[in-house]
Amino acid sequence: MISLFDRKPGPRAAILAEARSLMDDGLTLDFVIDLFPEDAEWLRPALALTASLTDSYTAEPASFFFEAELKAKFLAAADNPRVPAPAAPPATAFPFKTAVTTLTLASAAAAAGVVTLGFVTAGGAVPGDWNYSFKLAGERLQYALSRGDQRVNIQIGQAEARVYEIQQLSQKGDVSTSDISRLQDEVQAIASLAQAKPLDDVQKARLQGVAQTSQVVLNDTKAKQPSLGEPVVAAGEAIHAAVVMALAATPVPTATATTTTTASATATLTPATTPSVTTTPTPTETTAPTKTATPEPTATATETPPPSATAAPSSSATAPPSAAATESTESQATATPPPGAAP
Amino acid sequence: MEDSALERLAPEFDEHAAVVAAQRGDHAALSELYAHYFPRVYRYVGARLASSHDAEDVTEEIFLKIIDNLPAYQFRGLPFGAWVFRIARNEVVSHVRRQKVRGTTTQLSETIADDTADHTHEVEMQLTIAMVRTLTERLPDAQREVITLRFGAGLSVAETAQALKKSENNVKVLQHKAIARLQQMVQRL
Repeated sequence: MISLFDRKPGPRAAILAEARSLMDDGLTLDFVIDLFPEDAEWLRPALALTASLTDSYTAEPASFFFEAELKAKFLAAADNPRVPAPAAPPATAFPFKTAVTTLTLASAAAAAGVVTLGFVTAGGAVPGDWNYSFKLAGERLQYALSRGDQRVNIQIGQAEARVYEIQQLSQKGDVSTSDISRLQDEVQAIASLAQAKPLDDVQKARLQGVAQTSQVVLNDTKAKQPSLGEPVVAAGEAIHAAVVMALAATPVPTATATTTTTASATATLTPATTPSVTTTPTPTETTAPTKTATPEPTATATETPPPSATAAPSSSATAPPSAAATESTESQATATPPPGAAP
Repeated sequence: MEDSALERLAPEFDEHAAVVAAQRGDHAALSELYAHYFPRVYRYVGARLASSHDAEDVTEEIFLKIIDNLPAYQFRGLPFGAWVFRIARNEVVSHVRRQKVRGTTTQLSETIADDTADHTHEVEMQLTIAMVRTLTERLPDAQREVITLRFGAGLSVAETAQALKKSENNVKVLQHKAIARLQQMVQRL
């Protein structure tokens, strides 16, 4: 057997092998030693040991009874093979089933691998990528498993993802109308959710970020792909309307606000009620005045029926905090980068 | 030139013709093959296994496998002798593995002491055999394989190499190392 790593034996190993082979051929120990006079000193005891090994092994022959009995079995087995030849497998059923099973398992394993790979790598996928369907499927699954605020957050996240995708596609000039309409649908879905449950301040900020970014991205798309001008403009308007609707969605007013005010008073007081919702993220400075200021004017308005003089001070007293509150929230919303706006 | 012990036990014969005839079911050829290989195989197995009872069982299994697989044997590369000892080696290795799983049992002696005759020579021979086995068992596996095939089964260097799927040079090296180590062990006794 030839091996790449085969190495020649050392001189003594080669001489011992050759000398022992001569003994195997029937030469005596002394005769062989005479053939290797220079190596006789070490070779003689080595060959003597091999001879004693052979003698010791041959000195213990098998019993005659065993040898004869086994010979009889040996010859009988030649006529009647102990192990029958393996039967030929059915020509059709078994191989077909095996092939089908193998293919099924292989395809299932491959599909599982592809699905896993698709979901793992789908995060930054854009329309046209092989794993974009996995991204959409993952989003649908997340949405279906979510409730309440979490669902709104997921929906906003999906809108942000659509903006990101259009932004990426716009750089290559590959935006299609379906991509734009998909963004429009996502924002309108947010508006629908906001009708059922008003957005909190963080959600509003994110939505405003989506609105602003989408306008920028759509304008860029329109510039790079003039053929999409009309759909882009229409989508921009629809997105704007949906965002306004979502941001305007307010909680049901409290009993004190509706029952106590006159026509003139409600006009000034209704804006003052909205900050009570929007003041939560702002510092305590804005929350304190609204809580204390709004009840007091209403109380005075109910007790003193007509005089506009009393109403005016009350409205003027309440207006500044409300105005300050709305301004602060708007400025904050635009100033703070919306979380997740740039995925 | 006098015949060696192995030649006396298994004289030369036309192996190729014997194998071809045995594959046709010729009992004379089968007997010839059996007579040629039984002593060598049994010595090899006996050299590897401590118990003569185990040696007989394994030898029987080897020859039954030889007869089972003989129709499929083809003269392509591997000589018949190497093919036989490859089967023998596989059976011995399988038996040793099974023994390791089951655990070894002490064999009861089947002989009854006879005080009427002088058994000095037999005792010395038995002691020599026991010593050889003890010493060879201490050799590394590769060296022990070579020693038992070369001096137990009487295979040539080339046949041993083919049976063990090694090169002849490798067998020569292993043989030399084994003999040198055995010499050291004998000197320490």
